[in-house]
Amino acid sequence: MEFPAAISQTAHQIDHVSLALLGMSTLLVVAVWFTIVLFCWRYYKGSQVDRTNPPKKARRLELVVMGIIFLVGFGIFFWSARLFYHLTLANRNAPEIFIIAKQWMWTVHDPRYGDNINRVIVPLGQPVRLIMTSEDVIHSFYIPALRIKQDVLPGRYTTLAFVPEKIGQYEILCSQYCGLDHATMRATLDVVSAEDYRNRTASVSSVHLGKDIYIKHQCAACHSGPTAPPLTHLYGQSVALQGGKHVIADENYIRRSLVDPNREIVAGYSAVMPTFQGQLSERELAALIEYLKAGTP
Amino acid sequence: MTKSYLTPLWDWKAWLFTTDHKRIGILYALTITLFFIVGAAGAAIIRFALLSSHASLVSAELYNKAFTAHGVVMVWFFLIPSIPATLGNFLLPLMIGADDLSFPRLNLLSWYLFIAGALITLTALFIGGVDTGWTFYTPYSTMFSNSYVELAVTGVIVAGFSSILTGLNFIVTTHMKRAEGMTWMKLPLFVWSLYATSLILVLATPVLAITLFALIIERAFHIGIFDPSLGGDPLLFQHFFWFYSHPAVYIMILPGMGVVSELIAAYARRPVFGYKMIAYSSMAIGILGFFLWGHHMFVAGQSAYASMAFSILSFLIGIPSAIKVFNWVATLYKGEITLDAPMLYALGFVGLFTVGGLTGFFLAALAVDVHLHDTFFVIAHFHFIMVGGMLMAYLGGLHFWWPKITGRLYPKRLARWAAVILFVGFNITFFPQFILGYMGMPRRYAEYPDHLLWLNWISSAGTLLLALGYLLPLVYLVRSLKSGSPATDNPWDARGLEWQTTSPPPKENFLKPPVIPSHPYPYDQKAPS
Repeated sequence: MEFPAAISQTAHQIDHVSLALLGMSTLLVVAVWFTIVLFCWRYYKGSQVDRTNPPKKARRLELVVMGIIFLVGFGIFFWSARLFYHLTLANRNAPEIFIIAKQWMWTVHDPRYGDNINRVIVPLGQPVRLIMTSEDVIHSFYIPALRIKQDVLPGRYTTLAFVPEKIGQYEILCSQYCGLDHATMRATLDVVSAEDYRNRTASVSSVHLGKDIYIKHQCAACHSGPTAPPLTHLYGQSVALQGGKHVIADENYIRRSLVDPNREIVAGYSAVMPTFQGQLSERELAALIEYLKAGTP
Repeated sequence: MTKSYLTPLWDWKAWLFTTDHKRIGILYALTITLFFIVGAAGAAIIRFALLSSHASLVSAELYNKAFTAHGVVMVWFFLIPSIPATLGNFLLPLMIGADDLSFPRLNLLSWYLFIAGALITLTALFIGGVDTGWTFYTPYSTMFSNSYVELAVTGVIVAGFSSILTGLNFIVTTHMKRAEGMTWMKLPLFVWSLYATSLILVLATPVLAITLFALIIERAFHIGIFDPSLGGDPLLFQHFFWFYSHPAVYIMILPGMGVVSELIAAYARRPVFGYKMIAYSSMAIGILGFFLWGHHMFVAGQSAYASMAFSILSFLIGIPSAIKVFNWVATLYKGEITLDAPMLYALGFVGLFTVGGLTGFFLAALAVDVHLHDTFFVIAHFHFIMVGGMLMAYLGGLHFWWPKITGRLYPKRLARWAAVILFVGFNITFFPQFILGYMGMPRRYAEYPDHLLWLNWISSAGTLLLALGYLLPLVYLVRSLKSGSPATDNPWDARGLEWQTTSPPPKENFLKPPVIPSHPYPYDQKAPS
C-alpha cells in the first residue's frame, strides 16, 4: 500500500490543498469529538458540578463559528479554484494527442508519434494537451499520479493538459462507469525522455491521412470557391457567424462544423454543407482537424 | 382503559384500509425494513466481491448489478422514505397536537404508490437486474445497457409521486393542523426539519419524474434527447438528474438532524441551544440545496466558470451545517446527561456527520475534486452522511419513540451495546474508503489494482460488525413486542406533546387537548401531569 507518486507540479499543489484540508478537518473533528466527550463526562447525570444559569443562546460565539467556517471555506475555495483555473485553461497551445475512447479501450493518436492502444507516450517536462472524445458512452480519463481526470463524452471534444515531470509508467483508469468491463478499461501513461520521444517518428502521419480524406470527400470543390468559406489557416482564428456571434475555430468548432454544419453558419454564406456525421470515424475527424491545423488547404 | 390505535391488531383489513397516520407509519416502517434488507444484500455482494482484486469471486456483471440494486433500493426505497414516512408520519400530528394529517386518505394513497413503485423496481432487479448505477447516466442507460432499465425507472417515477404527496400532506398539515397556541416558534425541530424536507420533496421530485420519463422516451423510441448520435446532449441528463438528486441528499439528512435535536434535548435535559438558528438553518439548507447541483459535474465537461460558482455555493452550505453541530454540542453544556441508546446514536450522528460534512469540503474544492471525483473518497463521504448520519438518526429515533409506538420497552443495556457496535463497525467499513479514494480507486470497479487489496479487506471485514449492529436491534426490538415490559406514557420524562398521550396513543391521538408549553423543549420545567 502506497500513495501514488505525484509526477507534476499541479499534482503536488493538489496534494498541498488536500493536506491543508486534512489538517483543518482533523482539527475540527477532534474539537467536536473532544467537546462531546468532555461535556458527557463533566455533566453526566448526578455529577456534582455547577449547572446554574445555563446560557440559552450565544449569538456572538455562533457568529465566530460562522465566520471561521466562511473564511476557511473561502480561502480553500480561492486556492483550489485558482489551481483549477490553471488546470483547465493552461497549456492551451501545447502539442495535442487525440484520445478516442470506446467500450473498453483507449485509442491514442499522436500526430507526432503515431497510433497506440492503451498506451499514451509523452515527453518528459513538456506540456501536452489531450483532445478526447468517445465513440459510444461517457468515459473518464483518470491519471492518479497527475491527480487529474476529465470525462470523455461522445459528440464533442474535452481536453486535459499537463506537464509530466518524472520518467516512468503510470496508471490510467476509466473512472466514469461505462458498462460491463469498466474496471478493465485501463491504460499506461509512459513518460519518456524528450530524446526518446523525438527519436520515434509517426508511423502514419495524421496530416497525410487528413489530406487523403480532404481529397476523397472533395472538400476543395466548395471550400476553394465562393460557395463556402476558405479553410487556409482557419485554426485558431475568430470566425464571424450569422447573427453576429463570433467563435474561435478550435478543435470542437471544426468538429461541430463537420458533424452538424447547419448549427453555426459563417456570416456571408448559406447552409449548403452536408453533414459528415456517421461518414467519418472519430479517427478520421481527428486526422482532418490535424490537416486543417497544418494550415495547408 | 382506552383502546389504542393498534386494536384490532390482527385484522389485515384494518391495516390495509387504514387512514390513521400512525398505522400508515407502521406500514412504511415494515416495508422499508424489507427494502433495507434487499439493499443490504446488494452491499454484501459488493464487499464480498472486493475481497478479490481480480473479480474472481463475483463476476463483473453481477457486481455491476449489485451496486446498482444497492444504490437504487437504498436511495429511493429506504433513505428517502426512512424518517419522513415512518417517524414523520407517526409523530408529526402528535407533535403539533393534531388528530391526523390534513389528508389522511392521500396519506394511504402515498403508501400504495410507494409499494407499487417498489414492486415494479424490485421486479426489474429480480428478473435480470439493471447495470447502469443508480445515477442512470446517459447515453449508457438509454442506448447501450441491455438490462431492465425502463422497468426500474418506472418504479422510481411511481414512488416519486408518493414522495410528492407525502411532502404536500406534511406542508399543509404543519400550516393548518397545529393545536391552539402551538406557534411556529414552539414547533419541535423535528417538525421544522420535516417542513424543509417536504418543500424539497414537492419541488424537486417532479424534475426527477420528467428526467426519467425522457430517459424512457429516448430508450424506447430513439428520440434524441440525451444521446449525441441522435442529436441529444448527455450533459443535459446530468444537469436534470442532479437538479433533483442534489436537493434529494438533503431529504436524506434533514429529517435525521431533526430527530437528533429531539434526542439530545431529552438526554441532556436542556432546551435545545440556539433553537431558532437550528430551525432557520434547516430552511437555509433546504433552499440553498437547490443551487449546488453542478458540483457533481466539475469534470463532466461543464464550463469552468459554472464550476467555480457551484464550488463557492457548496462551501456556503457548510455554514448552516456547522451552526447545527455547534448548537447540538452546546446543548450538552450544563446538562444532566445520560447515555441511553438513543443518545448514543445521536452523539454518533453528530460525530460522523462532522466527518462527512468536512470531507465534503474536499469535494467542493475544485482542484481536489478533479482528483477525488468518482473515487471511493466520494463513496466514503456520502456514506458518512447517509449511514453514519441518517441511519444512526433513524435507529436513534426508533429507540426513543419505540415505547410510544408499541407500548413496550426494550432491553436498554443490549441497545447500548448495539449502538456502540454499529458505530465501530461503521468506521472500520467506511474510513478506509477515504484512503482508497485518495490512492485513486475509482468507484464501481469490479476489479482494482493489487496494491489496494489490504484496505479493501479491512473495509469488508468491518461490514461483519456493521451487520451485527443492524441485526441486534432487529432481534431485540421484535422480541420486545412480545416479551418487553409495558411502557408508561412518558418513560424518558420527555417534553414533546406526543408524550402527553398514552403509550401507544389512542386512534384520535389525544383524549384531552395537550398542554402547550410556553417555549419549546421545556426541560427546565416539570412535565405537565
